[in-house]
Amino acid sequence: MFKFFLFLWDHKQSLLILLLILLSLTALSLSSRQRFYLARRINRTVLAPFQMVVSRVDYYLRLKKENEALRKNNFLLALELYRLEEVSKQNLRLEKLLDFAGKTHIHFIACRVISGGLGEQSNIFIIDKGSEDGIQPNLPVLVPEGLVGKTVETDPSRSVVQLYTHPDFRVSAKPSQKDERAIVGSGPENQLYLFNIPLRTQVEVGDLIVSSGMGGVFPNGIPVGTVTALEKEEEMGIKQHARLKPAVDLNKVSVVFVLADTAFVSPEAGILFEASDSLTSLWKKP
Amino acid sequence: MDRVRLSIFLVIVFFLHLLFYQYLSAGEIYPDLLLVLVIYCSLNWGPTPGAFSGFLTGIVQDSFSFTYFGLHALAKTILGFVIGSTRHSFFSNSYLVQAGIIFTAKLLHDIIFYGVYMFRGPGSFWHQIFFHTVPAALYTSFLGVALYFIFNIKTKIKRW
Repeated sequence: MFKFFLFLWDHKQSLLILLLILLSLTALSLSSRQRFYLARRINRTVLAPFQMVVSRVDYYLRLKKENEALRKNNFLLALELYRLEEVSKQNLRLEKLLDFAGKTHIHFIACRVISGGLGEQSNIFIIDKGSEDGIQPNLPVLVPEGLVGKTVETDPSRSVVQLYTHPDFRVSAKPSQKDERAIVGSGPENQLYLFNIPLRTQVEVGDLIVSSGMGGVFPNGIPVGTVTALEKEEEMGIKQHARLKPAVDLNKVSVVFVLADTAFVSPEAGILFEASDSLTSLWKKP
Repeated sequence: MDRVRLSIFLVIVFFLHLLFYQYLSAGEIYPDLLLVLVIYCSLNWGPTPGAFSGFLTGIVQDSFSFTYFGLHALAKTILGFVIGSTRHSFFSNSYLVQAGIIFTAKLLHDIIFYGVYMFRGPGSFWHQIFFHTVPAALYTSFLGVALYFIFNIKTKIKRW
C-alpha cells in the first residue's frame, strides 16, 4: 500500500496531467444537455465578472457609435418634422378651401400660386391654371378669408392674377350692413382704402367692407377688409376715405380659387344679383 | 520583478482575449491569445502549471461554445504539458524563437482540435489547417511577441 502511494507521489506530475486529460475527455463525452448546463454554469460563475467588464466596454463603444447615428438621425427627423409641419399647414388650408367650395355648387377652379406675391412691392400672382382649364380674364380670385384679386391675362396653362394691392385694382364695395357703395383700391403707402364715402354714410372703425356686386367682376358679399381708420377728404371736405386692413394676408396664400361661373361675371345686372346672393351665403354674415 | 511583470502580462493577455477578441480579428482570422498565455505559463513555470493553465483557459474557451465542450481544454492541456516538459531544449529569449514557438504551438493545437472536431463532424481538415490555422498562427505569433516585447519580459530557464 505504502509502495502504491510512493508510486503515486513519484508520478504525481504525470498523474495530474492524465487527470486533466481525462477530465477534458469526460467533458467531451457528456450529453449535449449536460455540456450545455456545465458550460452555462462556468459562464455564469467564473466568467460573469469578466463578462460584465466585456459588456460594459462593448456597451460604451456601441453607445458612442449609436450616439453619432442618433445625432444624424435626429437631424434628419428634424428636417422631416419641418417638412411635415409645412404639409400639415397646407393640408389645413386645403381642407378649409374644400369646405368652402363644398358649401355651394358654384364652379370654382382651385389653383396653386406658382410665383409672385411674396415681395413687398409684388402685386401679381401667377397661378398654375389657364384657358385650357376654363380661366378667362376678369374672373374673381378668392380664398376662404376673402378677396385676393382678379385674373388679367391667361395663356393655355397659366394665368396672371392682379392682386388687390395693384395700383390699377378697383372693386366696388360697401360696409357689410349698409348699402352705400364706394370704391376700394390701393392708396398711399400701398394701403388699401375705401375711397369717396359720403359723409352721411356712417362708417366706423372695425366695420367689415365687402364687395357690392356692382362693376361686373366681383359678386356681392366677398370680404375685402376691415376699417382701421377714417380720413376726411381735404379738398372739398364732403367725402371721407377709410383705411382698410385687408381680409386676406397675401403672404400666406398658396392656393386660390378662381370663380369660373359665368353667371357671376355676366354684365346683366339681374343674373349678377341672383348669383351674388348665393355667394354671399358663403361668408358669415357680420 | 520579472515574475510580477509576467503575471501582469498574463492577466492582460487574458483580458485582451476576453474583451477585444472581436476587435482583434483581421478579416476572418482570429488570434488565440489564450494559447499565448498557456505558452508563457509553460515556459516560465514548467509542465504542471502549463497543463493547468491550458486546462483552465481551454475550459473558459469551451464555455462559449457548447458543441465540443472539453476540446479546447484537451488541446491546451496537452500543449501546456508538452511545451513545459521540452522548454529546456529549444527556448531562448530571441523574439524569432518565441514567434516560432507560438506558431508551432498554434499549429499543434489546431491539429489536435480539428483532428477530433473533424473526426466527429463534417468538414475538410486540411482546408481548415491551410486556410485558417496557418494565417491565425502567424497572426497570433506576431501579436504574442509584440506583447512580450512591450512588457520587456525575460524568461529565465534553468538549463539541465
